[in-house]
Amino acid sequence: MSKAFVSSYRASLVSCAVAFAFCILLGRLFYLHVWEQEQLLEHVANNRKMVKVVEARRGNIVDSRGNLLATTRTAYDIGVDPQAFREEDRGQLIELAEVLGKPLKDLEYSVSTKTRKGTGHAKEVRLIRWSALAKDVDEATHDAVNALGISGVYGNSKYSRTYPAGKLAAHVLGFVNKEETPVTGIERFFDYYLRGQDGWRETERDGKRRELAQFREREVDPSDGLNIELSIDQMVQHIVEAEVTKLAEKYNPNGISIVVSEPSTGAVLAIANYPTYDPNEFYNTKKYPIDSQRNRALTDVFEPGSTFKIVPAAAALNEGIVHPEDVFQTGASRVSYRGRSLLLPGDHHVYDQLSVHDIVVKSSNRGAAHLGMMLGEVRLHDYAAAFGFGEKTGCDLGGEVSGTLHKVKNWDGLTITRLPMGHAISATPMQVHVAMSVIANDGVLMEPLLTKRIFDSNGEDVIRFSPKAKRRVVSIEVADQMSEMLADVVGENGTARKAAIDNFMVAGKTGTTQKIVDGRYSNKHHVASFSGFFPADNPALVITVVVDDPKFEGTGYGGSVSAPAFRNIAEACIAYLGIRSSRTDIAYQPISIYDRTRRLSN
Amino acid sequence: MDSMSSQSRKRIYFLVISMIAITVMSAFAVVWMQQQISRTAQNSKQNEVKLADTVRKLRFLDERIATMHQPVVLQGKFAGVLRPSMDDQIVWVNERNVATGRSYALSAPYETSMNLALLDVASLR
Repeated sequence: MSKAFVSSYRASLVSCAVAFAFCILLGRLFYLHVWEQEQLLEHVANNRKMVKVVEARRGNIVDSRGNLLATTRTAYDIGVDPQAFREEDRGQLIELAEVLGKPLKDLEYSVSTKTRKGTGHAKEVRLIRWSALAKDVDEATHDAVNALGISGVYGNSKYSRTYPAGKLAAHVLGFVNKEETPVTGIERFFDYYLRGQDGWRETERDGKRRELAQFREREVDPSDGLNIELSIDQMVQHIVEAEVTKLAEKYNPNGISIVVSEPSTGAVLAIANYPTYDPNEFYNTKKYPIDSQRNRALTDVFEPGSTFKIVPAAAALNEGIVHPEDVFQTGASRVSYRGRSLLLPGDHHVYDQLSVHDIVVKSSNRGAAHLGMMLGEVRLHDYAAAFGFGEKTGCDLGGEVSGTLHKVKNWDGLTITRLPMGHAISATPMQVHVAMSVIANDGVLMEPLLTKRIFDSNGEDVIRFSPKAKRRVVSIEVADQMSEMLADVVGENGTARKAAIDNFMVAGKTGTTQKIVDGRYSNKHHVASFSGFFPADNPALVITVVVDDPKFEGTGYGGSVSAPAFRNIAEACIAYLGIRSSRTDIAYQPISIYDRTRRLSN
Repeated sequence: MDSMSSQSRKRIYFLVISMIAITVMSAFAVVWMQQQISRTAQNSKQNEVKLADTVRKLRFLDERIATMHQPVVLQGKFAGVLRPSMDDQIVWVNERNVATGRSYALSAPYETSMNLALLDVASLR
């Protein structure tokens, strides 16, 4: 038996080499498994595991009849992975361009550009895995893109806020911007309830970054946002906005605000402003300037003018210091008040004497000044405050201002004669509306109710908002007396004849305020307003129309500009809501929704 | 070793082979179970995606319905379709003209016009 010759030197060398190799291997293993264990395990876990945030869906906003006003839809960002794009699909790019409404050359550029320079080093080149083709496309477009079956073209879904009604109730709803931040309106005020709670999922993924569902460890479902039901009625809102559009076309004013509400509950059925905007295009400031996003009914103040005369009249009656038939000498331009001779404001028509009833009906400035002086500064101020002037109405919309009702100590010598006619005070259209609602609601001031309830996805109530009475301002008897006077304002001898509605007893008050231009009351610029309710003896709706600076030949009176708008809105609401007249002195003729003149004008 | 009987040896062989068989079968069973778990998880995920798709499409439909039912859209559907009444039309809506020049249709419960009823009786089917 022969043995192969093995040099002991070589054998030692090979043995050492093998041993050295094993040592290196062991060292490497030690480095990987002991020395760098924590970092490497973390690195592996980071590559393998992922925590995926499951976005909660923002709740809906619906009107009082359940019509969607704001909702969250799934939108898609369509893009292409140029590495996965196949050249044989290039012919379909023409169809893709048509579906997405993008220029073909842009798409061709996107699919052909496969690399880009890295940000770290100028020479580093990175592969492009995603090139955006279109953003925020809807479900139908996404389906159409998928149907083309172009390799590498796909969409990433995301939630996007949308307003199906477009401009309708834009100022009430507000909007959510691109950063998912609610900016104004109900969206902002009720964001806490609307936004919901995101969920998350701890899972693993494979080398192609696909989720391995079997390795899901922990999962917390998202809790979608709650829904909000408003007191706004979509149809009433539409009626009002249609009237706003007509007014804007006819008078080209600086601004318009109209509020419609139920006096007994304070439920607001419509708030509309001009100019307005589409919350779906809030970013388009060329089309809709930032100024148009202001809810003028709550943010803009004006001198209420004659609409304020209900305050001194109701106050004087409530204090029992006058009777509707009591007569005042309104011919004199000066009177003595607490040892001072005061110049009274002028009237368009000078009457030698007027009863309290006629002061309201004829809208006499001097008569109102007499009532103010009888009340005195403190009582006049307190009643104005009780009617809601100088304080926020509490409308759930943010951005509301208080208006100005100066403290008595800050009044000058003429304020006692000017405040009763609605000067030396500023108020929002909503404040004027709320003040008129006091008369319509038997003397009780209600807080405007804009939100009826917050409900979950099953329709169950989470929070229900009830009508809130703030205080009694005047007695029921005084409210009735005021209603009768205000009904005569809309009568044959009143200033608001154009607000009259057949079959219905309407009560209301006009206001025509000179605007202050360059520190002086202007004869050319006015704010025309009308605030009224109907039926006068059993009010169903209060409507306030304020038109800021109507471009009009002559004076833009409340009776000629705002009162007809009131009538148009009231007639449409009567037909839509089925409001019945309570008048017994005429044969009742119900008004149907089939108003041919209205239909044909469409 | 020599003292071990052939029967004992057989038993040991049997035990070893059984253990190997059980181990291999258990290994396969574990793999099979893992596959089943993966398959079930994938099915659940697919159903989850399908459900999410359905809900998403329903919401999209809701939005479309809401858009189509806007008063402006509904009124737009009738624009140009409505026309003044004609003398020879069959169905009439009673109207009341008022001094302001406005016309109102009188609200009345729906009933078939007598003329229309007679017309139906006379018609051949």
